[in-house]
Parts: sequence; structure tokens; C-alpha cells
Amino acid sequence: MTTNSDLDQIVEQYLSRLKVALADLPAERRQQLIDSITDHISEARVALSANSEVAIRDILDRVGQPADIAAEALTVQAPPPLSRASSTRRATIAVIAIVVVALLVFGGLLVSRSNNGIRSTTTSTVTSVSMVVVPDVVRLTLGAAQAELQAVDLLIGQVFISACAGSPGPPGVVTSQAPVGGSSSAKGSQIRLTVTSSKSCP
Amino acid sequence: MRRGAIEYCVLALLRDRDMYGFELTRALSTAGGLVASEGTVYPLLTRIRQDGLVETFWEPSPQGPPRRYYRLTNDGRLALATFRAQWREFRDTVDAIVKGSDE
Repeated sequence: MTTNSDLDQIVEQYLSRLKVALADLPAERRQQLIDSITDHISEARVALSANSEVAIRDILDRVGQPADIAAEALTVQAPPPLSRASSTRRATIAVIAIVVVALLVFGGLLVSRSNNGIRSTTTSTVTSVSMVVVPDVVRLTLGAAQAELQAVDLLIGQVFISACAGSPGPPGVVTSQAPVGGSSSAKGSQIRLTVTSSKSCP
Repeated sequence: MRRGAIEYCVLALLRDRDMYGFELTRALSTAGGLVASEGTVYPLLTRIRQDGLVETFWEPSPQGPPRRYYRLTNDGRLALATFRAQWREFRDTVDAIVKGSDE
């Protein structure tokens, strides 16, 4: 016969295994997660008609392996939180705007140079271009998107800013890209992005 | 991709009413095939809270400890609306390609 304190002990053992598995998380996040899961187990026990060992083990099974929860917590933690300060956002947009202008000017120079007779060299360079997989930057901030693209030698092309923040999502965030993530592009080519505006909709 | 979609399933569940953690994770795990286990939903809830898509508040429970409720924010509503449009497009494209290779 399992007593209530035996059952409490099974839960305690589970929670200590969870604590160990979550050791790599910052202390505050770890405690928060453990508190949430402790509450979850209490709720599940309240809902039980009879507190049997089988029922408790079933609850813990549904909560899942501590290693799985830890893996999820560490993955989810990886991307830095989106900057919510609008000044940072504006600064980022300004920096990108400068980059875009620079690219346009630079592109213009290339075109004018090729018009001046360097065109013959382009055919041979095109065949030796190496391809990279375009990262998916949708939902990232412009700054984060730029870093992702740079990491694989791609550039930000034109940046379209949607008319107002009401559509779609939080401001300063990429909502679409062309070419899309997962496609392949030549190194050094430009990815066009659409980002949400910080202006609110009328 | 699955993780990204679950985030929006959470937002969708909260569209009509506020829910507490246990209720929310149970609803997701009962849906089947969506989440590995109920516990893995909590890290995700923390993240969407940090992203400002949901906010939380405490309510006393009729039995047991107080409950942390999750509520959709305005940003969350917008994110959900955006996702619905993108998802439809994505699903239609994948459907079209996958069906095509069947025939």
C-alpha cells in the first residue's frame, strides 16, 4: 500500500532529477521553470479521483523526461530576446538604411564600370561563384537578420518597410524575405526584406 | 518548424479566453502529435512572455495553489493574425507540391 507521503516522494524525486537536468539554465529561469512544473503537477493531482502510484507516474510521464524539458529550455533560450526599445529599433533601421544606400551606390558603380568595357570578365566569374543556403530570417529583428545573412556571406538588399505597425506583428521585425529561407543563392548576393514599421496604424 | 507552429497554437488557444499553465499544456498535449510532453511547453511559454506576445497574472484556485494565467497581448493578436495568413500560404504551397508528386 502506497501512502500519500510515498507519492509525494515520487514527485520530489522527479523534481530533483529535473533540477539536475536544468543545471545549465540561469538560476532565475531554472527556478521559474521548476515552479511552473511543480504547480502543474499539483493541479494534475487535484484533478485525480484517487491518488494512486500509477496515477502519479502517469502524470509525471505526461510532464515528460527532464532531459527533454532541459533540451527545450536550452534551445528556446538561445536566441536573444527581441529588443523592445524603440530607439534601438530606429537606430537599427537607420543603420540598415545606410547599408542599403551604400549597396545601391556600390551597385551603381559596378554597373557603370561594366558599361565602360569590363563586361567580358563577368561570364567567367559567374561560373565560379559558390552557392550558399539562404537562412530563414523571418521574425528576426533587422539587426539579427543582418548578422544571420552576413554569417553566410549574403547581403541585405532592398528593405521594404510596411506602412504601419498594425500589419503584421511587432515593429522592426522581418515579415518576409526574397529569396526565401532554404533556397540557395550565390555568395555575396542580396536578400530583399520586408520589415514592420514602428508607426502605429491610423 | 514544429516549435514555431506550437507557439502560435498557444496564441490561438488564448484567443478566446485566458488559461492557466496546466490547462494550456493539457490542451496542447491532448491535441496529439504536437508536443513531446506537457513539460516542454513551459520553456516556450516563458519565451513568448519575454517576447511580449502573452502576459501573465495570478488568480486564486478553488483547490490547490494560485494559478498563473496567460493572456494574449495586442502584439500577440497581431502575431497570430500574421501567422495565420503566412501559414495558409505555406500550407497551400506545400500541399500543391506534395500532391503533385503523388500523381
